[in-house]
Amino acid sequence: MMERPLFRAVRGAALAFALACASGGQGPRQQKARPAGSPSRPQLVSFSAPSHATVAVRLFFRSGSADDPPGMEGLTKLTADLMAEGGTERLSASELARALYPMAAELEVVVDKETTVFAGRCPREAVSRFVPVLEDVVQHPRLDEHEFERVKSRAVDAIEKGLRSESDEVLGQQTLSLMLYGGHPYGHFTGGTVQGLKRISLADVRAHLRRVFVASRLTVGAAGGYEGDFSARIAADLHLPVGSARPPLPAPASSAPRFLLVEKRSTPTAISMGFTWEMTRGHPDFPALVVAVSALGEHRQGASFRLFRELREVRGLNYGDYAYPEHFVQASDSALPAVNHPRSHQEFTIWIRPVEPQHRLFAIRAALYEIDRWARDGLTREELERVKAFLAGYTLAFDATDTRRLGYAIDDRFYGLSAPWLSTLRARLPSLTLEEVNGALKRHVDPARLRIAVATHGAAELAAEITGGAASPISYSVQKPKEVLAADQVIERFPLGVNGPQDVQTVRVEDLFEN
Amino acid sequence: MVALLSAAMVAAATVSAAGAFPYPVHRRTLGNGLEVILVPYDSPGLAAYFTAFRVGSRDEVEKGRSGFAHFFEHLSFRGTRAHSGDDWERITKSLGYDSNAYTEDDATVYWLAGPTAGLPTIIDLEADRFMNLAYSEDDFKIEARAVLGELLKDLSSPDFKLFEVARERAFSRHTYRHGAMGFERDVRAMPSGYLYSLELYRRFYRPDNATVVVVGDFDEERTFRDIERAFGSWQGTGQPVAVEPEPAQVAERQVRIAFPTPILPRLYSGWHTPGAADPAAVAAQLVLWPFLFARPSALYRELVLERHLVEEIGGEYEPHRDPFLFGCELVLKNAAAEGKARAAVDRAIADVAAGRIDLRLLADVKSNVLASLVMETDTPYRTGVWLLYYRELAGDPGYLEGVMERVRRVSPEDLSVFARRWLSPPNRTTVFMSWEPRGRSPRPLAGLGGGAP
Repeated sequence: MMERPLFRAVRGAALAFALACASGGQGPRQQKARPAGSPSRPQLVSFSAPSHATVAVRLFFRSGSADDPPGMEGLTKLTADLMAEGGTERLSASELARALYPMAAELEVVVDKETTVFAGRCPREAVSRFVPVLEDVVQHPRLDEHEFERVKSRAVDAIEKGLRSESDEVLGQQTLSLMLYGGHPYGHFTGGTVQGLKRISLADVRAHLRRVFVASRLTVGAAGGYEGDFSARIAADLHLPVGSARPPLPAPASSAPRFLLVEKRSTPTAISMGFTWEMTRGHPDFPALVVAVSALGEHRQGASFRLFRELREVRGLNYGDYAYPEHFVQASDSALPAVNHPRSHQEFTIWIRPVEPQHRLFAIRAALYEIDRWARDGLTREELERVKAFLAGYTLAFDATDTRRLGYAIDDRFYGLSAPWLSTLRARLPSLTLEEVNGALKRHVDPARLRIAVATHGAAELAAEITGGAASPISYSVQKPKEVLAADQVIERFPLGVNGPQDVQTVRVEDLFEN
Repeated sequence: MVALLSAAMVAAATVSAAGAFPYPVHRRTLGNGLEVILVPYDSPGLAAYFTAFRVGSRDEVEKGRSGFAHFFEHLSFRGTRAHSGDDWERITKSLGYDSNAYTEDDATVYWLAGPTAGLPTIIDLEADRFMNLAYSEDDFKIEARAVLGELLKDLSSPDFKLFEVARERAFSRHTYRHGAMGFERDVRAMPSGYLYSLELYRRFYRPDNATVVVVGDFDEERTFRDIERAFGSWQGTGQPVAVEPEPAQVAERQVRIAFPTPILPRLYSGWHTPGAADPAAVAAQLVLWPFLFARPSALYRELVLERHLVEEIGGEYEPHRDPFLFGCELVLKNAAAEGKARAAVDRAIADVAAGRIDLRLLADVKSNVLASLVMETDTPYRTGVWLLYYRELAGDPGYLEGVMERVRRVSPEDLSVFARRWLSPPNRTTVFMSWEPRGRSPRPLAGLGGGAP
């Protein structure tokens, strides 16, 4: 079989690298992300670092669950999963798994509301074997009936036997998402609905693939151990239909009640809260909000941050409590934010990790109390300087690997930024003033807008407690400082933002994600 | 100053040769027994710093104290007289460091990752933390509630429940019968264990039971001197506990349990197999697990891709210090698939035992195991995690290299011998779990004599 020029070139790159090492080595020659392409052709991002041991390739489509046709919720994810796992015209599903395995190559597909990324990574030496497989996955997927039935059945199980049952925390988060985006193209679970999935045929998948996984929505990114403009070579290999971009999505306008309580047979209680906002990485106030939200609760970073300190460290209510200025997905290999989940409409959210049921209402109130203080009084000067210093160092890890550097560059393209987001944030941090941060907080955070999702056993009882306005005192087995007990007295009666039964709805878990 | 310290300590430098592990490993030992491992890594301006102790849930030998190694990990963030817990958090976060800790069956690891410029401060803070830890009984009781909160988040997971039951059933004596979280009853009783926590600190948090690892872009000599200065005065010796060995299992154990919410049924099968003292067996298991159960395996193809009996095959082989379980979890499409899935697993193992081995697949698996080392050491943090996991198995940072060298040499005959010796029904424990709406135990599968636990 003739070898394609692309991979002869790659092999040449590997040889060049070997010679460089023999003569004493060379550092990574990282170039700036090089935007290229036109609206009808793939966009390109490339970071060559020939001495690096692995190569990351990301095929990023501006197509996500927002593209699911009404009544076929889950179609984009089902299509993408079938492409990534179901084999190619040349390789069956089983052969595809076998082909990737000896290289320890990674190939995963991640679908979000507006985007889908086929994310690949392999050792540098394997790139000439790996990339043709990745290309075939995207442009020549097998799409056979047997695999379709398997992947579709799994998608239904993931809702009926997974999302509703296996993690209280994920259930709480996804319920909040339903609340925030009801009636909006973001408004269904990315994995679909039970009935929507059941309606989908293989013909629907084939048609959808041609509609959404198209050249005009594609960004090709490459980073790591290669030389030259690898992304351009991959883009030249891909012959996808040109297609067309999705029109811009409207801003969400939630009509959800203040509380949605999910009745689930479960020992602990999971709580998520949040509201939508039009704050994205390009907004001039966003760096200030990143700092402010970090002070409230940086993801998995401990007692230097308010919610964690007050709920967990001082009161022992749970394992952790965090806040996010934009949609957050944790990376699979660290606590850092995963890349390539950009959204044109964003959200401010709070994650209260599971609490014991007898403390659920106190925990909700404690979080609301802290959010209220934070929004009303703002940060202290000492707190501002500490958070700025933290972010200045912590964010260095955000783009410290090829995969992450590439991911951030692609997301910059999504947001249409003229300068990389991380560079902007780092440059902005030293000069951010207390007035700017607290001013942004006051302009954009209104605790009354928070919507609160609770997954719990005994939802009806909790609804009655909330609407009745009953106090929710807490007691401790140890001596507590006077100031904590004084704050507790306020917290136990802290207003829940409920004016009547219409503000508190309950739902059985089996009724969620159905249609 | 340096000369003075050096006279008081033996600093034996060992430099590993390049091998399967992709980075140089520079090892030294202080006079008080503290091992220091420095790994230069191309991560401009960034480093990961670890302090590891060879204590895990394995060492929780006293009845009613399961979960205390993990609980102690939490307590270690409560501070010292010089630096309160809040102080520690404030300083480390002001330096821009990501930080956390994890407890496993055989080890507890504390880590920070961030700008190299902060390393000298981090070293001082961590030395103070482990040499001078001081927490009140009130702090202890508050933290016990946070540990309960951590358990609560796990309780809704069927996979967590399945494996907890499997361990408790498979082990009758050895402390591996519980996981790092501990039994729920013991976690709820933790507030009564203040004095025990101090005993655990005295036994295990000593320099000769600890390892400091630094991976990243840093000045090796300066960092070593900083570590030497900060930790050099740490005194005391660890007191390893005697862990009761697990007697050989002579008959198959089977358990059927109910889960309270709708889930796909699960079938766990685990066999007692050798621990780290037998590196050849560790290497064989590293190869055999994916050969039998990973996506390219014949079993995966049959059960998942072709017959749609199983939705996913979960688990992985995790080497342990002592003999542990070699197991897999089948997530079944429905309860009716159980019998056929069991039979397919039995056939796959019988094929290996009989020497019917796909040689190309064997080569692919070995290639994958070795290439995974490159793929999964892409940050200083992940590199340190890999190194420490294997270091703590045998107390030797060279153990990983030795096992990987053996992986290269695993032969078809090695797999057959291993399967015949260890993967037999009498040595197996199985747990079947399914949703039972009224909380009943799942019905026994016809032809199996499995009873309730």
